[in-house]
Amino acid sequence: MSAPLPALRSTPKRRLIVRGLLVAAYLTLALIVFIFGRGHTLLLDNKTAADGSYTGFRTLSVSVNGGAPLQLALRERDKALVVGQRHTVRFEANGQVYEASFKLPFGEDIILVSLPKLAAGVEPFWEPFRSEPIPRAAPVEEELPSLDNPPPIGG
Amino acid sequence: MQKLKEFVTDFGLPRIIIFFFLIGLFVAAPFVGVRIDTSISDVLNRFGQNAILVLALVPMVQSGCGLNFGLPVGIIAGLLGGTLAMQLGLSGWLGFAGALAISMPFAILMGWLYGQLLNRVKGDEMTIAMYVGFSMVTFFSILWLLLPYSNPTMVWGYAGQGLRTTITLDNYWGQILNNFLSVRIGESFFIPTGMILFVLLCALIVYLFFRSKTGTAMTAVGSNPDFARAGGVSVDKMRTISVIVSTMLGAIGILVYQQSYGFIQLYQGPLYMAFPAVAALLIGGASVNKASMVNVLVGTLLFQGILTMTPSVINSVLKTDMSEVLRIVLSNGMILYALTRKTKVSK
Amino acid sequence: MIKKTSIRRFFADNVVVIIFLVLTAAATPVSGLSAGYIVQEILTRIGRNSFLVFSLILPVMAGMGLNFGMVLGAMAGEIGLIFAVDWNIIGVPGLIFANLVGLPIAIFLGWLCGEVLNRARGREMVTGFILGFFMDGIYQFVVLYLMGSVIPMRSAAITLSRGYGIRNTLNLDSVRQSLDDLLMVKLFGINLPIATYLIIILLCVFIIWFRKTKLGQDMRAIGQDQIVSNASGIPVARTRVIAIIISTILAMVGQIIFLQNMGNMATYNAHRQTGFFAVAAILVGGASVTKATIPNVFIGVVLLHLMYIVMPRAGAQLFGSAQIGEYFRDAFSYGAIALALVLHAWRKMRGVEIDRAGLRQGVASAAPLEAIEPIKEDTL
Repeated sequence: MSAPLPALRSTPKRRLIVRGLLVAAYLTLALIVFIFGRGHTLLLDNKTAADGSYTGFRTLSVSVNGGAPLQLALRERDKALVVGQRHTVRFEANGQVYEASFKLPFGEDIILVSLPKLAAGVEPFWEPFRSEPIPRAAPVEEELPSLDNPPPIGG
Repeated sequence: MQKLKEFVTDFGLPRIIIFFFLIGLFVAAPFVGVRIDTSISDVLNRFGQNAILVLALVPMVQSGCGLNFGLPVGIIAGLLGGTLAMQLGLSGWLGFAGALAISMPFAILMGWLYGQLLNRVKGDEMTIAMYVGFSMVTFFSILWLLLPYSNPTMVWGYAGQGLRTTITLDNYWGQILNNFLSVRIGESFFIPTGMILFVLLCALIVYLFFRSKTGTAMTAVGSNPDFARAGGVSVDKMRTISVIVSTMLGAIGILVYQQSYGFIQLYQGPLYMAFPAVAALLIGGASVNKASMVNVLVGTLLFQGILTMTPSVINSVLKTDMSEVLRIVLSNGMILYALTRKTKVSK
Repeated sequence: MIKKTSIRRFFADNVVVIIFLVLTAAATPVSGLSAGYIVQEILTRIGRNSFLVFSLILPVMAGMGLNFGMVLGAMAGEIGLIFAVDWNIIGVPGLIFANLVGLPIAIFLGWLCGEVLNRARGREMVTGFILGFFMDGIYQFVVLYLMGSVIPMRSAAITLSRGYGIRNTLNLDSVRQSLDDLLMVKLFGINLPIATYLIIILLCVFIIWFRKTKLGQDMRAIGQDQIVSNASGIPVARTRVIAIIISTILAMVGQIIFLQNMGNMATYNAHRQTGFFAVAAILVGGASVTKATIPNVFIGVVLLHLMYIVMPRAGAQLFGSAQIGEYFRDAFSYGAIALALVLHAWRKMRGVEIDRAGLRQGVASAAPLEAIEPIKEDTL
């Protein structure tokens, strides 16, 4: 996985150092973009608990990381796309402002954030959301490619 | 042992692997529920369809012009012959013969022009041939739309003008060669005798041609141009003749292919037709500058055999259609092998 | 008299450019497209395509002809993008991630391509072309059969319903135009993707700098005469491989830039026309098999894409069929490649024949005229 760059007219030792540095830089950069560039979907939820331990709001206005506010009525859910792991959710309901920061687990794609839980002080107010894989309808296979049918030329 | 080794290096490892692979496929076929008789019929049919297109490559290889990636030039001549014969309302044997007859002047003219071009670019023939082929196919795509064809089976119904992408040969000369003297045993075994005889006839004619004075001169030009020139042979003339013969065979090849397939394919259809033909020739043991009738026949049989057998056998074993990948890798891998092998220029 | 021959010489050297200029100049008014629309399209396409075309320059410099093997780099870029989408890495970091994933693949494929081309000296172009086809099969095998079965994929959205293999069309929403939008400037109602342009300018600077390095000098020497270079101690085979590796890496980056602008990717077809387009562009821009400069790239991209924009409309206006226009532009693009290759081979052969006739003496004249010319490129 190293990048054999032609370090011409150099001693073997210097060459080794240069290559080591390149590999290190490659890995560091990969790690940085991998961690800080990863997108997650936040599901913002305004539902009352089944056991009544917390109640939803009639209406609320929520913004993630200071973005444009979303309006949620009772039992409504909306989603927000976020990048990176540390996020702030701020919402306003019944004239009161709630705000909380949290750090997402890296591996999860979708996170369910329950705003009533947050307001009621239940920790954690978020949980990974894993939907059951929806059984797809009869496999409609896309046509597989073939060199016999050259694609139209186009730019 | 030494002899075996020599044979392997001479014949080339890839070819031997392909050969045993095909044998393996045939052995495996009954165990996975693929009928051998259907398979053999398919292989014979596809062999007949493609053999003349492969044969068309030989003259140019022999005269030192390399692999004729510009085969579409000949194919276009054949398409012109076929469509014009249909336009004239010729059908049956008259139709097929008419298509052949009409395509020949086009093939000779185009082949001559193409030969003149290739004589000016010695050493770079293959890349240029490829792009000449591509240009011809796209240029004729325009003509298929614009030429004043009017036979209703050929033109688009709603526009009343411009040829269809595929034209059926059902009431013209579809399968005419295949059915001639054909042998049918039971439901699924069929030998297209007529077509195979026609292929063998063409191969024989080309074989005899290379025994003639012109033919030997052509081979001499291919194996050592300087020597041939010193012997008083006109290099350019021989090369031009080889290109013309190649183009004519290309035209015949596509007409035979189409009568068996049952359709004329126009527009982008012929764009990549040279590549499988080239692969087949190379699998048969030809190199970039040497090819024989045996190479043509064995190569076509092996290549088409693999193309026929892999989808059915591999699919029933793996439950997935890998044959496409196999086809691409096999045919292009074979061409790559031939292009990268250290070839002795003169022998 | 001298002037007359120099005009003829100029015409002969640039006949492909001139034909394309005349053609597009005739077709543009016929198409009836507004100037604003055309300018916007051209500026978008410069950002989208020129990086890919630049990947051809180095192998030309090293005397290896037009590197049709660049599609290998394009495939590496596509694999990088598949992983970026699979891991849902958004925006510019997603593009960087795709590049980082593609980089080792591109280096490996470039090395492979270089080694193969070293075994096919004298017919690099046709070999590279076939190698592209061959690798297309391998790519299809990896992406259609291994991804999701052997190579773990996370997202069900991009795999086929059978559980393995990537779908025919990959939605690149997560990175769509993220580079273009990074620094989009609106000038007179025309959008300019400055960030993309900056990267292209950076690449131009790199190429100009590279020409002056020891490695670049070696490449140019090899491009002129392999035997002499070998005698003077240049590692010919190795330098040629390096030229192809760099070209493959540039093609990978170019394909990622191209696809982020397009916004979706035909998983199995996106790379098939890449080589054709890049080669057509650089030849239409006046390059030859032995000489390619930075202006060639820009002229070529502008002219070729101008034709691709106006031709279907012109065809619709003239013949009542956009299809004819499309066939026209394809025929002219293929024809342009054929013509440029023919002209070059013709001149080369004439040079050899003149040498044989003993009309010319000295080592310098043994090379065809245009092979000597790259020395003047730096002034451009």
